[in-house]
Amino acid sequence: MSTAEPKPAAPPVLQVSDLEITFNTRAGPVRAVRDVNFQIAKGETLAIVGESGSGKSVTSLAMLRLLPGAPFCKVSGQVLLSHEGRQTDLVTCSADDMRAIRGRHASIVFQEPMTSLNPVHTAGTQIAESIRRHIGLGQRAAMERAIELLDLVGIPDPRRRAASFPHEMSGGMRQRVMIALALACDPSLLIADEPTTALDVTIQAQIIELMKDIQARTDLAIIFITHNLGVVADVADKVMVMYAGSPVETAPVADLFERPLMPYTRGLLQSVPRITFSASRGQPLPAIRGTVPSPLALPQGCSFGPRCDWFLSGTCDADTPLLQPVQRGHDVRCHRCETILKELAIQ
Amino acid sequence: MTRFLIGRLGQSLLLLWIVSVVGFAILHLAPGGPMSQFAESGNMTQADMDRMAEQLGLNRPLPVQYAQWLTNIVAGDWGVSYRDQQPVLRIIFSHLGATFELMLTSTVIAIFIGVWVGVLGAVWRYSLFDSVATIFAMVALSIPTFWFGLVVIWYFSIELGWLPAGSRMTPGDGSFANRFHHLIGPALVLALVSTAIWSRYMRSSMLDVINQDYIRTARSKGISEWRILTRHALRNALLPMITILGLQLPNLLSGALVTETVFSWPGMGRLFLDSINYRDYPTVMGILMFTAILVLIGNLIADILYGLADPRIGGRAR
Amino acid sequence: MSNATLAPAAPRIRLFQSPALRRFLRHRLAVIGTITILTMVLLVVIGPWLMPFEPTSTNIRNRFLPPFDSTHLLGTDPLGRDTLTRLLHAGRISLAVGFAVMILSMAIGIFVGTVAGFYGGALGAALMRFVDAMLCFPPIFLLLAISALINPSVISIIILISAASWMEIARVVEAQVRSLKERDYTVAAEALGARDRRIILREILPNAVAPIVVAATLNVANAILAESYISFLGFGVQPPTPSWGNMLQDAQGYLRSAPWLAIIPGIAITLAVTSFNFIGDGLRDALDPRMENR
Ligand SMILES: Nc1ncnc2c1ncn2[C@@H]1O[C@H](COP(=O)(O)OP(=O)(O)OP(=O)(O)O)[C@@H](O)[C@H]1O
Ligand SMILES: [Mg+2]
Repeated sequence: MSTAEPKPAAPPVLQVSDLEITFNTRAGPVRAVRDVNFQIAKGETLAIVGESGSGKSVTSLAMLRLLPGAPFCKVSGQVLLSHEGRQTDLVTCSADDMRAIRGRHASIVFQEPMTSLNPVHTAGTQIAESIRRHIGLGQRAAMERAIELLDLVGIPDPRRRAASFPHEMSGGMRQRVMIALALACDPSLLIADEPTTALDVTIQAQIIELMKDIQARTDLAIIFITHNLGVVADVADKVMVMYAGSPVETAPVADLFERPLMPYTRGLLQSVPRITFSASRGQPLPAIRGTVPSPLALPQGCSFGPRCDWFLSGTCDADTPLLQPVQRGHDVRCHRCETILKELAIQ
Repeated sequence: MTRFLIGRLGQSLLLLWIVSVVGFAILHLAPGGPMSQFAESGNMTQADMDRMAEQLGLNRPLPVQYAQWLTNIVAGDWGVSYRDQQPVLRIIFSHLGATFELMLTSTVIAIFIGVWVGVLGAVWRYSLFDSVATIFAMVALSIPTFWFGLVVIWYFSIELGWLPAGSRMTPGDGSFANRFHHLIGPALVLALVSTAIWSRYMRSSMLDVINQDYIRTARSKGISEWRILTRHALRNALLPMITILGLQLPNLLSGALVTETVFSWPGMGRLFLDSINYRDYPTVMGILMFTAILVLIGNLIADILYGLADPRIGGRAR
Repeated sequence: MSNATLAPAAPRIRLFQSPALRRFLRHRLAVIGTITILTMVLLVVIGPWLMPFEPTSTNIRNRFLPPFDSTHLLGTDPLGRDTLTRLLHAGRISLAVGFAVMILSMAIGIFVGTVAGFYGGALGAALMRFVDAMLCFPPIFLLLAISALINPSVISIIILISAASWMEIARVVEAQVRSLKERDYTVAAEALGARDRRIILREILPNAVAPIVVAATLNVANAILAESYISFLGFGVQPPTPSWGNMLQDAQGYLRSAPWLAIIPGIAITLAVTSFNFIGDGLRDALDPRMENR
């Protein structure tokens, strides 16, 4: 996916600044996500990685305003989407504007293919509904387009499958339908929230190939959320590592794998021979001691501090570090990254 | 689907058989049994009664009597009414229309109101509307139907004079308008409890559905909230309601009996009560069995409809 | 060391110290319901002693007095009997029937449900199919058919209504027992050779308390309703013994001249039944926190 040629200076497809998400729970407000900043250009793939509960799904849902409404959840910051030569802030735009964008300019593929399709409608109807909504084709034409899309995502016998109900399809096939649905109106941004986690390995590889293939054809910008560092290396141009609700390191994919700076990222990568890292919350990563803190009780200062080998008391537990550029395009949130850089240089 | 149907049919037949045993037991094991009516009428001697029992086959062993009774039931011979000497089954059928008219109308009302109250309660969960609807439903569930009927008659017939105080039509006037006018009161009274039940079930079913992933998917397509509600949520939330329709049948029939009594509605419930007052046992037992069978069939139909409506059960799969 | 101490202790619901009580008290309607029921019980227990009238003493000169009369607060009936006095006496009967039916049908329901759920197999299936069959009969039809065959008295009414309302409890208990039976602590107790009766009484039933309590509360509500239905129809509690249901039976004929006679007992029934339904709702939320958001 990574292309070496320089990109023209068009505005990024998506620009997220200071995104912050707070849930009002029984136990009080929980700031599940904060300080999220990134941008993504045409044809680019940004991978978001992080342990379970680090806020990846919540971030992706917030971008399309799919989180529960006002009393339960509050989103602040800016999510600027470029479409048709305009920019819209998805945090503040009207509900009508939001609906006109969802599925048309920005769409999303969810983590759970088994439950994400409506059991009482056929695959074809569900895809056609989006086409009719946004492109204004008639029933017949929309269905034809849906069948084309099913063909595009590699579903054999698409005409028959368009008339199938979700329960008649395997998980992999349902995820292909979801992708077809997301691509139905030729969006400029696709958010894929762990699209392959629920699928078995060979299907995973097929789905990823499919997405790469489509991106090559359409210049789609993709946000790819995953647990799987192998997949990251395969698909991403840029990577954003999240820990306890905020990004701790963002870097071009090669940089990140060659020269990870944040101790948390280094821990993640050290566990890589096994490629997938621990999926279940509360289970320590092999290379990192301790467990992920609860968003209700984040430690003072750096939230990774208590688990960090480089922890320096008086610095790391004093104030929260900022995400700062260390090299071109490589930002790190760490008080000690100068030191770490120096040690790396010595080695 | 065929397998599902056959299984369900088998279950119903088994239940039907148990129902018949229970019905027979009620008739015979109660003190006095089928003969008690003659004893109470007082103008028969013991010898008369023995002769009568002999004639009716009541002195044979119970299993033999049961076999005979069951054969008759299956053959459509449900006995003859003591009161007007007509076959019980024919009497029941002649009263069925009025009861169905009442139950159907009130169910339509109850579904229409109940579904919307439930849906909106779920969508606007914890809102003022939701709280008020919840309290209303709980109170409505607790109001005795007959009392509500009396209050409606008192207020709308006696005080305001808007509705007739009872019966199915004005004698000599069988016009649609007249029948409809007579139907309003009892249908609304019978609908009260069902409406409450429907709104409660619908609310919880809808709450289940609107938290499903596929609703989020629908939302991610950018379609309107109204369309999400009607096209995606309602359809799924209504599916389990089909079963509720069947399960509520016994209560609906009970309500119909009471409503018919209060409004002098010439249906099966009224017939049942009149027959009891007249000690017309063949008719009483006939109606009791008949309602149980009705419930069984109703549940069977509800299950079949569910199977047809839910693509996961019906259709080509399985 | 005895076997019993080796068995892991089953977690029990402690009603009085637990968050359950706090959750119940947070349920406003349930609290209102509880207060209403306690007040009603208090009124019907001591009220009749405070009243200057007998429920059966007629007074031909004071017939059909409307409510808020100077001596008869809720007026009088066609025989000049004091409505309030009769209402309180009727309340004794109606509430007593409600509680008695609850106890009796709990006993039947818990027994049948436990046996069916614990032993399962053919016996369990047979019992539960019997429950299904009983539930096919519309309750009022069943009640009336049986009550027509017997001589109605308060006792026989209680037995009758119980016989027609234990099935729901049996279903609840059966489902609970069947799922609890598979849990670790019962398996452990079984492995240690505890006897069936002991497992049922010590390990299983205490854990099924929550749904049983809820079902029991709703059972009282339904029993009060059932009593009123069959008494209203003339096959329940027989006059001159007053019950809320049969007070309404008398009143039906005087809707035009004395509508309050019909309105007052109905309010009493509705109040009592609503309160029990509110309490049941509150108990469900309190005892099963997972349901709280429903
Ligand atoms: N509706 C909600 N109410 C309160 N807190 C929530 C809610 N949804 C998510 N959270 C919290 O937000 C945090 C991030 O959750 P999120 O689902 O984004 O994790 P994730 O990184 O996607 O994990 P996974 O890899 O398991 O998908 C979690 O701590 C979770 O507890
Ligand atoms: Mg997630």
